[in-house]
Amino acid sequence: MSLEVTDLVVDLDGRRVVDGVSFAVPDGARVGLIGESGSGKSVTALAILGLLPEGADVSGSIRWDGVELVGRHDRDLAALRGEQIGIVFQEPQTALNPLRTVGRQIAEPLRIHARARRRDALARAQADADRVRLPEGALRRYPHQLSGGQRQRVAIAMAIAARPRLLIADEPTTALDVTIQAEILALLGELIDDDGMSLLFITHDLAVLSQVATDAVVLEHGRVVEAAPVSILLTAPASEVTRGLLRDATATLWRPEASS
Amino acid sequence: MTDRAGWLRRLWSLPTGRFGLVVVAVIGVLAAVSLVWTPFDPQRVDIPARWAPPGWPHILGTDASGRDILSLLLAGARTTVLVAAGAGAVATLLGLALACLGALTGRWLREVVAVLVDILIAFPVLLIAMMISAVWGGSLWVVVISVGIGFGVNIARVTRPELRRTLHSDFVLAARASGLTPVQIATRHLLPNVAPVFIVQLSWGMAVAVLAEAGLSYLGFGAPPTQPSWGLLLSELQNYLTAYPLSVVWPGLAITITVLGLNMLGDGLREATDPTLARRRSAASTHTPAVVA
Amino acid sequence: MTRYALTRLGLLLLGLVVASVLIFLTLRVLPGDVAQQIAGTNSTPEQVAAIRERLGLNVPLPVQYAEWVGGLLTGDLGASLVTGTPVVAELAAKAQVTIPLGLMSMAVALLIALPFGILAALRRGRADGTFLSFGAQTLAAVPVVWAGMMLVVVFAVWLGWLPAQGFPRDGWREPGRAFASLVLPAVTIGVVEGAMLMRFVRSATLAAMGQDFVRTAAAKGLTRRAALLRHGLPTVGLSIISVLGLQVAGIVVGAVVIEQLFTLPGIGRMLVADVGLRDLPKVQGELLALTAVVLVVGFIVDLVHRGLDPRQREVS
Repeated sequence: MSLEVTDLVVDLDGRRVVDGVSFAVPDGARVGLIGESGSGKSVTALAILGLLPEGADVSGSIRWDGVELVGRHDRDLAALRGEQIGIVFQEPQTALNPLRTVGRQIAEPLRIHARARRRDALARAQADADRVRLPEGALRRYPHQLSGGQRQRVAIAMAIAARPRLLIADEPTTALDVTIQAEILALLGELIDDDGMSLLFITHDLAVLSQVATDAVVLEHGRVVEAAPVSILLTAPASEVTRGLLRDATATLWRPEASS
Repeated sequence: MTDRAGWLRRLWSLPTGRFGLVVVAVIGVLAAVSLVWTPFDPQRVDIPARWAPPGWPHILGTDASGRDILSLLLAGARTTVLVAAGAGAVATLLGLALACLGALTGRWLREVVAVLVDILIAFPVLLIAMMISAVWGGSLWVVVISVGIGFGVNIARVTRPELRRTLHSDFVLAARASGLTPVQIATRHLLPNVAPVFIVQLSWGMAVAVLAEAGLSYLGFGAPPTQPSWGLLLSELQNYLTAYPLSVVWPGLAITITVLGLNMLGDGLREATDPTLARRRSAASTHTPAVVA
Repeated sequence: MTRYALTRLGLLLLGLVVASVLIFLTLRVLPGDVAQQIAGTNSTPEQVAAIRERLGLNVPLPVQYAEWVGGLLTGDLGASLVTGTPVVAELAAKAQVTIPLGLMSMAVALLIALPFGILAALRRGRADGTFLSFGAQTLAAVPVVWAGMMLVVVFAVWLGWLPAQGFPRDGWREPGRAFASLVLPAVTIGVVEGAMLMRFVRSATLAAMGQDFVRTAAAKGLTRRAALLRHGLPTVGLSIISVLGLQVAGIVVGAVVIEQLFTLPGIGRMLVADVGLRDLPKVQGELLALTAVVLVVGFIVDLVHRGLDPRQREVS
């Protein structure tokens, strides 16, 4: 179960946002997509899932398990979403439906893909809620009653509820407090290991990336400027962009030990 | 801040703005022209020529008394313009007064005014008009005043938050600190910030005024029989609806086009003066035009 | 929630009081000399004085107001100056026309606004979407009276399917005919109000389409359309509820005019007649009744809106 993106081009409202991007996420790999804001990273993720806004033009190739996704009908892509490929978005404040309880929202992927009955789905949702370490009784609450960190846990639970093979995380910690960031990253790492998922992690922060990804693709203005293992990016960055990202990186930089 | 001269150009570039401006201009010109010339005297009765179909010399035909419909429409435009302008003026005065009261005074009075305004909003314009008609008899003044009150209150409700926001903004605080007089502050800071919201509401309000005049004149509480009015014409032609059904098309179309033009002008103004909306056409902001007669 | 409900109730009562005062003042104070106007120019001073007595104008104003309000609380809205019949009885009789008319109009308006508004949002930028949007704007600009006339011309005069005027004398004891008399009036009001509401529905749907949580729903495996319908529409429904109050006011106003056009013996037509007759006590009562309806509906709608939105309910 691998993802292969080849020469992806995305135009939004006439503007070219992604300009010939190629990379792959092999089965079980943890790949990072890094770049400044506006480099086209989120758009790439949305393109993979067919979630771009109206008026977007996509060309090139996106292959999941050898099957071409570009140009596919939304129905087919919807079957993939959540079940094969899950995604966690950046903004926990707006990612959840304010009118539904958390439990219902976590249970939803199972009800969609496995046609689970309500009671079974809710039971599984409770198990998922425990895995992401949500507090007692969270399932009965509404999103506005939870903190930002808790909402993001809900988002993660929803993304993995149907046990997808690939998890895309689009800046999942950017909108969170620094103290919570580490917890969420650790949680993500744990879940990925436990379920044997592949990870595509999108961020602008090299420090965060170094904690979750082994390989990374660096984007600038919609193009790939460098692709290498993270350890190389940290120690011997080849492009100016990467050097700039290194400078901007915050807090603890995880430098691998000298042994490779 | 938005480039002031630019907004007119932007307005013209929008289909809504262009349509609105053209319609308003045409109606205004027709009304003005009717003051000095109409094809026939609108009140001229010509029984032999009654119910003439559209053609020559009566381009839109004649009514039951042989009056030329086109001339009646032109003269009616005058009434429409007068009512819209009059109601606009009343609404402006009332609205700004209430808004200032609400924004400038102390806490207690402000709350009272806010509650009062919210209550008055629920009072439909038509009911106000009928209330006033019950005592003073129907007349165009009744229409002007009641519509003016009705949408003046709406203007107050919409401009008050803008006014307050601007009053407490950094610009104004700095201006006050640097010793500008209240008048200078008002003209240089308050007016430009409140003006966009205000003229949008004014446009929509005038659309309501036109519909209200039509409705009230139809009911007999607006224009007196001697005053040409589109609404009155509708009421007169109604009596012959079964025999001459298409005669009502003309005054109805006139009202519809005018109201449509004013509404579009308001929409266009909103887009032209709001920088965030300018980026995305037909944006998802809620437009609640005032209740209509 | 209860605290909010009580506050709103308080505001409702306050609104009713203010409305009653305004109506009272306008009808008692403004006239100058109502009695003189009613009596006419050729009347004798004795006739005028008699009318003043009948109107109860010789008592100080606050007392007059108190008398009126006192009557209101016991269900007595006064009596007609012309016929002497109690206002409440008249209102009840006419309500059998106006209330069904109002409900049918609202139904028509919703039936038009919801599907077409959503469709217009989904097809934004495309030819049919723009056509729908423009159509709605045009219909919303049409004077309700004229719309009624045109519908009468088509359906009553040309096609003869429905009556052009009137309401059966036996009222609802002939339900078929009664209903048929209300169809064209209700459709008229409903179409114009519906057009206005449709523009709102379109905006609200566009807003819903852009919501992040709709995208999240699609990311879980729903098609984008299903995500919008299942997750976005409830928010649209919620915001519609908040404007229903305005719609009711519009329907009340529309009813007054439409009842005149279709000669329906409803409250609106009665009001118009009474205003013409200067039957002030009746007008007072009728106006208060209509205003009360608008205010009460607004109150109910407000509470329902709050009740349905979990964000606004008090956390238990």
